[in-house]
Amino acid sequence: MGKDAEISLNERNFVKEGLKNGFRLNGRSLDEMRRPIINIDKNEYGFVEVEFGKTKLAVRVSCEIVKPYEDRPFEGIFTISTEISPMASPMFENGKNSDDEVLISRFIEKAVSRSNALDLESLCIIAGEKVWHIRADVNYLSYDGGLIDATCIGVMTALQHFKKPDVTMKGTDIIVHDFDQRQPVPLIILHVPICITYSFFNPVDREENIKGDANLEIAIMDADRSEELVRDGFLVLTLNKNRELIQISKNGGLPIDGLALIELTQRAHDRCQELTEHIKALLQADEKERYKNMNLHLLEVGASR
Amino acid sequence: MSQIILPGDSLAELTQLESAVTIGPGIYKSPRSQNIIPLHAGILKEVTLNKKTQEKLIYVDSNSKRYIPQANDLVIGIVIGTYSDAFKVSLQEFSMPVQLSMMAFPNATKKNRPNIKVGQAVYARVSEAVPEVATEIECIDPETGKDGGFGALDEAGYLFDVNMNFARELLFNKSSVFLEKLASRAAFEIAIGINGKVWIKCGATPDPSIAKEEDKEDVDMDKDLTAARVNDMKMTLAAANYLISCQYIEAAEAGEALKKAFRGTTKA
Amino acid sequence: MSRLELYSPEGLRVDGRRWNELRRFDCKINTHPAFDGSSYVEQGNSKVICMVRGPMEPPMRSQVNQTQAVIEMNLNIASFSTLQRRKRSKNDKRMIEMKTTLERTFEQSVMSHLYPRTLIEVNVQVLAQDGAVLATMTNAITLALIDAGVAMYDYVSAVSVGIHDQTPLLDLNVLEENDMSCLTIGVVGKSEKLAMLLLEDKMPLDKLENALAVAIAGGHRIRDLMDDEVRSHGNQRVSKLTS
Repeated sequence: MGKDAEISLNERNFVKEGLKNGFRLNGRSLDEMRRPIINIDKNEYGFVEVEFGKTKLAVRVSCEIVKPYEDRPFEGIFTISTEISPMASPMFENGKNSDDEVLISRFIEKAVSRSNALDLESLCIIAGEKVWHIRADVNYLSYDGGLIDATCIGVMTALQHFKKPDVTMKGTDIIVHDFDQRQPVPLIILHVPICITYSFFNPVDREENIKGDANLEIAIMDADRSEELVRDGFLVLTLNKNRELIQISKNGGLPIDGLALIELTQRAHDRCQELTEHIKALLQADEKERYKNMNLHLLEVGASR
Repeated sequence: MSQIILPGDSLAELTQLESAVTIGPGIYKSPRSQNIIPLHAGILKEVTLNKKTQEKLIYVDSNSKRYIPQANDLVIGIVIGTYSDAFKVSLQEFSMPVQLSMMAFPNATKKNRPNIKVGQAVYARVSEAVPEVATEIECIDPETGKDGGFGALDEAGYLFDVNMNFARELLFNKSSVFLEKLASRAAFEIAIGINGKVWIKCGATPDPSIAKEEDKEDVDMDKDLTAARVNDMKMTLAAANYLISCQYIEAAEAGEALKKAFRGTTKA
Repeated sequence: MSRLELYSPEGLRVDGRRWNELRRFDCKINTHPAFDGSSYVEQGNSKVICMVRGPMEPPMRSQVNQTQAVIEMNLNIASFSTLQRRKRSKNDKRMIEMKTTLERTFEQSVMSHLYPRTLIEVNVQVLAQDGAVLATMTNAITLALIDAGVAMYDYVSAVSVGIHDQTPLLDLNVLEENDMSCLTIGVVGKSEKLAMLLLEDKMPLDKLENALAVAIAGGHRIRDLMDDEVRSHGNQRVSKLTS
């Protein structure tokens, strides 16, 4: 990925030979993902930390009221910033976007914004005048492969968790209510895209890969750093649990048989389902906890009366 | 005796001593005032070099992350490029590369160049480390002119990074139990660079690519060899994982870590 | 969006094609004598010129790779190529994505290990966009590289396919592309191996197989059309040699 990242022939050989014989250096099986650890902030809305093994990132969702774009007066604005700072790894340089960094931000943009995961029309307050601008800032804290998958999970969890202040209209004025005055409102999420990255390795020589019929190429899920440095190509799949493909990107790299790719999408769908459930369970647990802490059950008495 | 020392602390009492004091890493002697002052934060260590004269060595031991080359250090580097007469070698990721002259190999001449590929690991000695000029390393024993154990490391071994203080522990602490424990489980070959790189290899199965050329017909033999090689790789990895986990544990827990790392591998 | 009837019950598309028909595919090679290799490709109304220089000595030291050739793509999309005049900057994320995709596609299909320490410079100029621009660019680059005499394993032919209701439609034009999800593939030679696969909008998971099958067949047809052009150009040159 980065220019200066260097990997010894020894490590390269171990990764390749290992895969040829069906095992990975990190002890995972070929299509085993690292179990993501998702920490949802207990005190505020829209701050989520995701750990994928040694890969760590923090997502902060924030909002402000702005004027909409001229050509889209009924829609709010949603931006995701995914700049990778050298904090993650010295191989990322400040202010200098390498091709891979641009690809990462494009994948996330396509997966989340372009697929309308966030309903933009619900962010409109006064058409052509005032709309919510939702920002998701991703901060990469540590890098050990799998940035795309982790970013997507982080952004989607944070968006689902985030709540914006309630707004009421008074004539042409709008009043933004404090969290203490009124319960904040969650964003409207239309679907939850999940990114799954496959990395490809060629166990034979290039000619066999292109001319042969053996289809010996190896695909692994969720590569770590050393595997990402050695891989010959990769495929990013974005899907949701409704059996919809949102985005596929195989930007060159090792040619792979079409049928094999279709099989990968099916397997990715199973993973996607698991992850969606996992995120949902976490968010529900968080909601419950808050409900308890804020003593909201006191209101239930009034409701039943 | 161990005492935590920080830059700015006084070492005056040590200079008051009658006997001679040799200063080691982390301590600086100001040329003007002749005072010695600590440079690093860490544990102050004292070693009595000579019992009769009470000559002492003092140094500060700390776990720094960046390796700064010192002459005569034994290091492992990765070749990252070639010039016309030298290799560019990286001792640590994202740090200044050092030079390894092609002449710094045993029996090397202008015609007979060492055959080392980019990416290969070499075990070498730092021959010159002056901050103002490019650091040089060599793969030759300067006294005998022979290889002295230096040179390119076998590709069948695994190369990984450990903390620098753990590398020192493995190298210099004679009572360290970690390698002994490992030896009880597997036979291995190891090279430890003081720059925090460790190369390890278990088993001695010949490389399958070499073996194949020797007897192409014997398929069964080939299969056996591959299986043995895979087993060796798994053992090597387990050994590497064991050493990586050893960085963060006490000596007493080594047995536990060994068991955990070697779970699932067959006994050699 | 406009309520065009994209696929009529009689099985005709807006431009009168059937579902599995390609648009007019017109290509020429060796169009620019100043370059080592060049090509001009029209896929429907999409028009692309590609010019290749190299393998040559890289002007910058940073472009030297000791073991293989470096392929550098320069994409240029003319501001008059769309209906609305619009200038596209080179640092646009979409452009960088396309550039990286093309570079990585051709790194695999060019026998780059035969040309160590060299640079292959590929200049692509898009003159008109009418859907499937990435596919047209890919085809143009393949032809130009062949014209330049760069050793390649096989043709890389690209085509796009969309799903309308249940039917896959091959080789979308811009009207169709705006209204349905569009899958672009790059297929290697006569095999079913995909060097490139891009989908930007939602598509039902179960439709993928169908769409891919249509796309691969379309890719093979384009390969044949390109092959015809390369061979006829070759024959023409040979006839000049002997006379």
